[in-house]
Amino acid sequence: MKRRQFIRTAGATVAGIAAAPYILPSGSLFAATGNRRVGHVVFCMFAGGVRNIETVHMNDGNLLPNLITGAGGISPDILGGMTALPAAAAQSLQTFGTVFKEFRYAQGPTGHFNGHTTAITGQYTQVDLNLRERPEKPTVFELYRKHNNPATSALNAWWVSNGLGPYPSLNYSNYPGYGIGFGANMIAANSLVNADAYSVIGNTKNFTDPQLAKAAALRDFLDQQFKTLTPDSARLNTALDETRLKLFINSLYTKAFSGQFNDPLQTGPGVMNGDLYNIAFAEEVITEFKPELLVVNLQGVDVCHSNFTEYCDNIRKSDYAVRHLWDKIQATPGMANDTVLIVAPEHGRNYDPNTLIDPYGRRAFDHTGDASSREIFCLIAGPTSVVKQNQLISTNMGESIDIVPTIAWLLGFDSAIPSGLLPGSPLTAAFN
Amino acid sequence: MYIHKLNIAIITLFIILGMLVSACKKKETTYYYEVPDAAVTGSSVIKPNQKSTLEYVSILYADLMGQSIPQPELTRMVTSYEAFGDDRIIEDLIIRNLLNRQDADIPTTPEMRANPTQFVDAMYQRFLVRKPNDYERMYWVQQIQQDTSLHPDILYYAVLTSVEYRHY
Repeated sequence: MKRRQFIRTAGATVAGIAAAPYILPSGSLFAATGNRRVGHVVFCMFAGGVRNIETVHMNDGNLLPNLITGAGGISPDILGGMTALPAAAAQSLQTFGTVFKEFRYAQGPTGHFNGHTTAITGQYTQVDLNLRERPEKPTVFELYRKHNNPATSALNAWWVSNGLGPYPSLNYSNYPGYGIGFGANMIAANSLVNADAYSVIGNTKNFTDPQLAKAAALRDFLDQQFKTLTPDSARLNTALDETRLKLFINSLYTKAFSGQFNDPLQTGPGVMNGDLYNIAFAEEVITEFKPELLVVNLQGVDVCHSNFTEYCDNIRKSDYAVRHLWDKIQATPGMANDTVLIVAPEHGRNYDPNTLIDPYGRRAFDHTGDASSREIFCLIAGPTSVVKQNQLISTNMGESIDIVPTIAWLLGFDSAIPSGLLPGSPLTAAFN
Repeated sequence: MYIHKLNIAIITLFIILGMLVSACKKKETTYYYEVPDAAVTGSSVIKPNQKSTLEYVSILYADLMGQSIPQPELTRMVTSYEAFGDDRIIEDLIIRNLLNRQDADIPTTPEMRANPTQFVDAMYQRFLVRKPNDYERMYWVQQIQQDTSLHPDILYYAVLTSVEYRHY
């Protein structure tokens, strides 16, 4: 081999090694191959079953003055049932983004858990779900953690659940190759930050660092002696992150005891409901972890099964809560001007009422799969360089299954997701 | 080149000699090292099943408090499990909460140090439902004797957070 040829071959080999992607045990590339448009995505499921008739069509006035631009006053017959809330912001979130007015939850049963599962997995569910099972398809959290960068801590992915029941299990799926090792941290803070939970997980024995190190050494000895036929399942968090999470839980108790959660969103006395508290706890997660991906849900509007006027009032509270969340994001260094907020209900609600009448004479509505219960909206707000500002799309465009691909596209891991795994497409009409 | 070939020849000769010597040997040599007289056995413990959340907290409570868990307490613990995504974190907090209670059944440090062997045997029987083997007993007793900063609650914490304690 001539000297010049040797140098050329060796140079190409070295360059090839340097340029080759690092393959991790997960089978993923070390880093996502796509372009990241923003550093953070917050997805707020405006859930509980909301009709477009009351939201973007403003049939009873603008119940979403913080989200949607519109001046319509609330219908006089239900005005007496509306809670006094702080004044709406001068500019609605529509000003900072794009509203898909005729978005669709196009397939599957119009059940809350079905709708949540679709929004979080990007897959329609065709049958009634077993409420005690995890999703069959990977969640957006697993797609993010596996394909964005498998080395990323689970502290970067959060599912802030309004309630218990089946919803907490949406933080990871049973899909082969994904699962707990790529899941999100989940907190249902309304059930965790209270006196009952504190009595069993608060007021804990404090060990010093040397004592903890000694206990760890003793535990390691025991673990080495014990061989089980069922290997210990994968862990969601590293030992270091577990310590940080315990401190976070304790900090929530400290704040609760010091009265900091008495009126965390500055709504005034007697206004807070489960939705507002859930947003307040999502804001605590933002303060502590600044996660790259956070999903939070609201459910209070489901009262519409029996009380239409309270449903309208809870839409207003949710509207205020989402605006507070946006303001929190913009006030958080590291997330301000680098976060896209997506807001969408999980499904709608029937056109025809049921037989129940509320104290203001309004009929209640269920959600049983008619056309109205599939009509929803989607608001996407974010930095001017990324999101088209003050755009209202009134034609039928976009579906629930498009939200997960949109998140993947925004965070730049869309091209790393195996082909065919997601049926939807990014909502590119909202972006520059 | 000549030296290299000579080296290979010498090494080959040694290997052949070694094989001949070992083949002719009639008696195995037995070596004795100075180790404590403890029977070292592989774990004969068979606990193939992982405890469910309900089983885990019920057994944990009974083990530490010496009585069955009251239903309201059980409900609060299970709710806490469901309300946070990482079971290990909640388990750890529950264990520490119980260890911090005045009515937890934990021996005093003097009681432990008065008879470490008895303490270790009782701890294994109580939490792992078995006797320690000689090696395990020796290890724990040594730890207690050598480290004066060890207290029973640290040992209990180590056992209750072990993989074996999560199984039956």
